[in-house]
Amino acid sequence: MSDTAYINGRAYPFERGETIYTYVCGHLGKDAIPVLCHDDSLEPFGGCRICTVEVARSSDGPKRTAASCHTLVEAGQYIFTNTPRVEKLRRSIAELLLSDYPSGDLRPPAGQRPTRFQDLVEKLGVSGSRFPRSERTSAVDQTHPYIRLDTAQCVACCRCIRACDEIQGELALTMAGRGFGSRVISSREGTFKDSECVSCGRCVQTCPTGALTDRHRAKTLPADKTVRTVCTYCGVGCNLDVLLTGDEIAAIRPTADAAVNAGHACVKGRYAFGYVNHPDRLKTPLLRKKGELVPVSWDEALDFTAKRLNEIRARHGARAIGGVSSSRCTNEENFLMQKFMRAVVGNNNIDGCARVCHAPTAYGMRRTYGTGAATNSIDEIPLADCLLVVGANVTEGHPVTGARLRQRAMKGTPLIAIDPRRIELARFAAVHLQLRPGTNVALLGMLTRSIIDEGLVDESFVAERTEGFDEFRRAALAVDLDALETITGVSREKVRDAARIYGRAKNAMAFHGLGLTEHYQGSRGVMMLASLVLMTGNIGRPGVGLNPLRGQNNVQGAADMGVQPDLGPGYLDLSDAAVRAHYEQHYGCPVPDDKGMTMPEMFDAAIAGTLKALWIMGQDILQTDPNTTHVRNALSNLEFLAVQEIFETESTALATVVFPASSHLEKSGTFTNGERRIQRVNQVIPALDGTRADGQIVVDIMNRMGYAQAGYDPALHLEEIARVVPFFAGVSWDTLGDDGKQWPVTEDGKDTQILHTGRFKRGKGRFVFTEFVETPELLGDDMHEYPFILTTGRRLQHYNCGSMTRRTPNIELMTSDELLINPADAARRGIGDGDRVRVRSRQGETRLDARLSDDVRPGVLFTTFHFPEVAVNQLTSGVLDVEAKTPEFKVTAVAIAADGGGEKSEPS
Amino acid sequence: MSKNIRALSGRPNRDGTLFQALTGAINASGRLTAEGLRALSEERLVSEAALLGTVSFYDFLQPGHGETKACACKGTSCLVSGKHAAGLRALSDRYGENEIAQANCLGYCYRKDSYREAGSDNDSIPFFKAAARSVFTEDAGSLDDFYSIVLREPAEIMDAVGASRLRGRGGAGFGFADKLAFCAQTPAGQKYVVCNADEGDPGSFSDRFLLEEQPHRVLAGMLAAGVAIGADTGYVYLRAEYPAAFSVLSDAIGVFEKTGAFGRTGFGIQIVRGAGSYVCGEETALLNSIEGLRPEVRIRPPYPATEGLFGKPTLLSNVETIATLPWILEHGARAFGSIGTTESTGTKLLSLDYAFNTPGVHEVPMGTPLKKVIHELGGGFRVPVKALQVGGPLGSVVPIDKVDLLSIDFESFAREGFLLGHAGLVGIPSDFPMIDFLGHLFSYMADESCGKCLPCRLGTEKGRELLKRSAGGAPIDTAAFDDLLETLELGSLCALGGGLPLPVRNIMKHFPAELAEHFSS
Repeated sequence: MSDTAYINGRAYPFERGETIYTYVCGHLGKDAIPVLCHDDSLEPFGGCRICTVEVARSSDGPKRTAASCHTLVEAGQYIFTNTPRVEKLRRSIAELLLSDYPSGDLRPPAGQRPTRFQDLVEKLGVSGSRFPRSERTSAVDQTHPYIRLDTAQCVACCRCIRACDEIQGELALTMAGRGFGSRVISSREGTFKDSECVSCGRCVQTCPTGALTDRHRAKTLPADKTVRTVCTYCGVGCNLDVLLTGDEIAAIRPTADAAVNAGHACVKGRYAFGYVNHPDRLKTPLLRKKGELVPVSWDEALDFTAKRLNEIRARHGARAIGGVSSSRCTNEENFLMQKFMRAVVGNNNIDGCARVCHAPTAYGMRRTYGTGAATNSIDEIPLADCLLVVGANVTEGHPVTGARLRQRAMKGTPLIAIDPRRIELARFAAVHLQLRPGTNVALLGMLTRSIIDEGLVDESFVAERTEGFDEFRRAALAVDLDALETITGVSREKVRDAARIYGRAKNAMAFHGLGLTEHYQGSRGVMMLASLVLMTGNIGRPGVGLNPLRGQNNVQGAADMGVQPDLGPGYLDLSDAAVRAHYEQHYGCPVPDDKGMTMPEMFDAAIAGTLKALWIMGQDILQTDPNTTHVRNALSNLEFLAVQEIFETESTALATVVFPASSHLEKSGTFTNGERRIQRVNQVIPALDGTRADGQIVVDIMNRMGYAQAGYDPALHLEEIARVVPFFAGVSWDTLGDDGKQWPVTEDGKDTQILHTGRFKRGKGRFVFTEFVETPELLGDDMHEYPFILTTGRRLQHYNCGSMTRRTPNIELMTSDELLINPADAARRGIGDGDRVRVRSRQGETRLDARLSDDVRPGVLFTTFHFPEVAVNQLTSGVLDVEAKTPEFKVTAVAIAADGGGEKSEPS
Repeated sequence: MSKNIRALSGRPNRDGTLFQALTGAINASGRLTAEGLRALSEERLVSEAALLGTVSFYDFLQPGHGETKACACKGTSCLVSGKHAAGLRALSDRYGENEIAQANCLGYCYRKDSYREAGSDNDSIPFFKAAARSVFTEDAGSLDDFYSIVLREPAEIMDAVGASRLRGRGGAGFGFADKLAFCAQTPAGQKYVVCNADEGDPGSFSDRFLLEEQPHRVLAGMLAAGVAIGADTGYVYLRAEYPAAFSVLSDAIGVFEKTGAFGRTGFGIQIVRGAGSYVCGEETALLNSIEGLRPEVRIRPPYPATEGLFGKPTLLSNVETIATLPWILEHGARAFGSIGTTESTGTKLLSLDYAFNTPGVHEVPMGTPLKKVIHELGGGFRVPVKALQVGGPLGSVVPIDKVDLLSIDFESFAREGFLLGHAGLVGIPSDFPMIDFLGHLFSYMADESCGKCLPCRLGTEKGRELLKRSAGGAPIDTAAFDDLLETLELGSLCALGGGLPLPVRNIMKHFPAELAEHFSS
């Protein structure tokens, strides 16, 4: 409802419930009222009182002062923003502050821009103070690799504390003490190093003074140029403003008004860019000569590669060559890579890292809904009154989305966590179903059954919009709950509690991660979850749906671009002649109809000797794929291995030829985030000398192998993609805009926030019930030798194989992979916190430092795979998801022993 | 105010509120150990930093406090009468320095000496009835009957309170019926009644009197308010300085829970004990304190009546106001309105300190002339007195020659530029320097400021510092001091900073000669 009030005598409309500050600034501009403790992205606080104005009931009535940031406008109110009284009040407050503020910090240091506080004091015209300096202790904390706290410059506005609370939700900062003596602390020790800080940097960003700064001086840096681009550290797709000094990246600030992240980022996105100019960067092609990789020219490397591929194809046929594309690369590069394999090499042996993560999602959601992508969008989280998180440690894997979920869960939106580990979100959950790793299908069966038993099925939705429910219901009613309780380790009562919360919620929003997909029954788990969503009618409107959290920045995009053997760009089925004709028309050459190989199949073929050459674009498969020994054997058995990389990795060490690639900050293109948002990646700095964009490397080889392909040019390739991929019909570089567009994008440029609103892509939603089957990894006569289940994941500070983040100060925040072990298990084996532990599986063995934690149940171990010296994937198994062939990273049977001690069996 | 901590703290927990758990986690030697902190953080899901922030706020939660064995009072009355210095001397004969705590007011102002030792908690406050009818001490028959009196239809309670024209006794004199109505009208599944028993104003002990001598009037008043607004839970926020009140009230709650009224309503009452912080008497700080947040003052709106404890509508009033309700419901609004003046109905409890010949709690009808209070009821002064501090350190300083103009009601005080406040009366002896009284006021507020808003955080401290330097011979810059007062008054978030200028200006206006040498001309 709109009403009228008066600002400095002039009438302006206002909305009921609006504060004086937003009202005045909305009409007169942001600087109409000075502020210190206020930040538009935080709740009104009312601490500094700098924003005080005078208000009166009539134009000449008695005036009283009011802090504009939290006082609501009243109809007919007269607001005076600059009376002598309020101006004097503002100056007096500034003067009081200056009595203790270091006089040397009143002006910015040479070469820096002023802080907001320095600006404010200058504008208020205050330069000194009549008030005495008081004794107070101040200290400088430099224990954090990025963040520095100098309390001498603190003005007690509490913005840092509130940002940590209201945006990140960590509550790592507080005021300590009372009154004038109170000060910001982060831990009892007073240091960030010992604090609960997750290094998101939001406190630094909002601090209006030099009290909190980061090593890049992102707040006060006078950048020569700022370029907006997209983060490459996960599928959230945060927008980042990269600040440049000359051609050097000086700092990163998350884009304040970005649809995806609204000014927030995590420690990786904001801080971990130092790898870009790390001396380890590959700067010249390497070619193996006499067993050694030696630097060669681009021409030599490319000519050699083209020659070898041609030879191998001539001798062994096209099917002897495989290609592995990368979810780290742009849509355009992925499109080119699959085109290279299909149109130039002439087979469908194209696969990518989605195979090791979300291929079961694509498969399972396509079968049930018709589209293998998130049904809804992240900004709908506040609309949900129940959040279901299955197999996703969101606060570490997808920190910005994780912070949003955490905020809701902390404030009381019931969250159901299905995870073998007590992840951070599980702490705040209404129900944590801590199942035994590998039993998602069993647990979801229990949940399904409970929904039916509790009468929580949305019968009308099921009747109108779905098919196959009767059969599904019959199967669900036939499950043996006693058996499933034993299998999952979760009681039916707990599952029923979860079912009631999920089933009764008006809007329930489900999320899942690799904890659901990377299993023997990964695709089946996805379909069970998709069915649960269907049976409760939680799809097709805001605040609901099934939303896979994409591990890498462009997992969605790579799959969209056809990086899988069976489906081309746009998920068109290559076994269909009409589809092939469609592609042929655009590629101008025949498109093969062979059944291509997935990555695991390529490894098997390499070992079998039928695959002779492999091209890998931007992926360290040797460190990140399971069963390292197997992968090593496969790669070693190839006649030819080409790897495009930015650093030497475990995989490049085995390559025949290594192409030095440009990083994502050195090229343009588009990424598609986990909510189907196609966003522009803009080149920030010139490519490092000697490197080329991955797309250009592919183009170079395509041309050398006889296919005339125009050079890497995202706008141009996007035009081609828009012609080839139906749901990209209305996409073009120029019209994507700053916030991108969510596919499907129709020809008129309209995008889609929510899928399956009126009908499912496949018509009706389809139910699929699956019985639990134990993974072969946990069967076998030798099981008594491997009494523990090892499950793997990532940590906040590092990304995947760690090749980037380990080459930044993030390494100081997490120095090695660790083995989480339940204290009871540890005690029984004489393992203490920090002790070296030998971990052995059927596949291999490694050593890790133990971290005793109740977050894992007895019998379950957890670790990460960020460090090559640990090489956790030496342990992981070769078991694959039955449908999507995704490896089962999440379940490995292992034995442990204190390093030097003997192994003992039985976990309990 | 952290909505996150508030929501986490509001999660059901059988071990009480976060704040109760936090004070409970302090070990015998008065320390929160690293393990204790970690365990509490794990259990309550609130970060260790946030818990540390809360603990660090309170005097009684500081390391070492638990080891103290005696407590000297340094409240206004004790300071100006010399009892503070005498108390410290007396205690230092028997205890080591680390064994003596100091409190801002123990509510012993009526006593000759005012310190407390373990085991000396019980001390009956002299009470004098100076009204024809006593609202607080009349016999009300059996407890079962007494509690049944307040079990009326909500509308009936609202009507009675409305007709009684009862005004809040906490200091501001806000119409109580309006507060009750806001609360009742706000739809919510859960509502609370909170009784503010954090009687922090030095010089006041009338709430302590009610808590210790008339606990059932307090509890029945809470029940009445609960019935009126539809709340099923009440909290008494009781200051830690009143240990005897805690045991009396705890016992009384036990008795209440055996009455038929409890059986019918299930209205649960819990005591939350403070931990030594004056600002917790401010209503929003008090709510933060119960929730386990740092007790910093919240912005308003939202007001507690619509968004109070754990974000729910909350009727928050002080002890005396709440303890008035049973009498109104028993005898009717008309009977209540017939006592006192048209604008200020009913009786008022006055706390007279040891400067009077008859110190203690005096119940007088509103409108009683101050002169009568001093000379008839109080029996005159023991020592020559030049001014009265009325209503605590944020009340007013009334020079003795203005006494004739005042009566015990909100209006006459406002008219003369004073404040009745909670009606504690402390005599300032003629030989006590007013510059030192100014120093006491600033020092007190600097110690007790929550530190959230800059005018108060900085203004109280800079005022203290200026006065300290003036004692060293540096005259205070009068213009700067005036600006300081204006900044406090116009800019402060709550009455702690905003109210300080009133007594300061009272003194500057009425005792200019005494202060002249300390200020620049």
